[in-house]
Amino acid sequence: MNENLLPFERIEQKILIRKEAETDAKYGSRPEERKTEDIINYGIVNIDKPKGPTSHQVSDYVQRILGITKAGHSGTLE
Amino acid sequence: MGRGTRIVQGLLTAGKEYIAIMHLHREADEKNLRETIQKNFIGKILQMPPIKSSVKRQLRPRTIYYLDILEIDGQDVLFKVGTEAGTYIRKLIHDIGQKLKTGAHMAELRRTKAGPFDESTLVTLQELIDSYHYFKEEQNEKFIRKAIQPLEAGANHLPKAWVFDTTVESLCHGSDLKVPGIGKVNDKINKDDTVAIMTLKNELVAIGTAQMNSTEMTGEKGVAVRTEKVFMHPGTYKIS
Repeated sequence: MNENLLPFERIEQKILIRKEAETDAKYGSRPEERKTEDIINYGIVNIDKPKGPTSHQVSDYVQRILGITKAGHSGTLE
Repeated sequence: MGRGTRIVQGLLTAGKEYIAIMHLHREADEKNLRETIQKNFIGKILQMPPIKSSVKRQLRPRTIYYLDILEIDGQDVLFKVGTEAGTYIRKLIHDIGQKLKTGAHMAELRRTKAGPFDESTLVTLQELIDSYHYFKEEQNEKFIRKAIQPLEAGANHLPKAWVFDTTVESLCHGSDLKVPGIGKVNDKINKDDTVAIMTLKNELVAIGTAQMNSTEMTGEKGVAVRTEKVFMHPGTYKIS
């Protein structure tokens, strides 16, 4: 076993079927079929943060680059 | 972005991986260094949060999942470490220095994993600017769709329960997930685990806390997941 794995990466999840069912194409959208505008508005970008600016400043840049009103980050490095 | 900001908040509690350079204040014997780390700094440790931190300053147990020394160059030690959320690497390095009696400080730090996100999907600000430009000015969406991941990516590390179309709307209003609404479920969920509730189209509906294990979720009744954060807009699965 590769030891350099985080706990969730060590668990292989299988699927248990409780009851088979179809989903109606009328509702919702599969992530890969979503409109690009929606992906931009509700998506995640894994930014390679440069050293100078703070996480907060980089969130602001991302907001400006994409012309959106809300961007956040997942926590500072320290 | 948008509702995506709330799923990345969930990453605060996910495991992390870092690459760091520890600068020893005096040379240390390599064998002693390796043994000290192996014996005291892998597995459960007790760590005092630094003065400048957002949490109460009392010793708290943290888990170091792995710590691999990649290179030793004189007094500089390059290593990779996988840790529980809320582990301070600067403090870890300081404590290693204390234990070695050489003293040490952190010279470099880079995060290489935060829950499901690793370096394979990294995007620079310039790449983001360029890909947005292709999209806006040349109607080429290929690059921006590669740069930005759907919000579901933020739940990649969580075990999942998939629900019927007819169950989605009530979840969007904050109802708990009950067993009869479940179509399929991952098999290694324990009570109190964080679970992502998905549609059969693999859309993220909500995140919650398991109230039973996987096997019980394939039964007939009971609350399976207590809904905590809803991501899908009500009305998306409004079935008339």
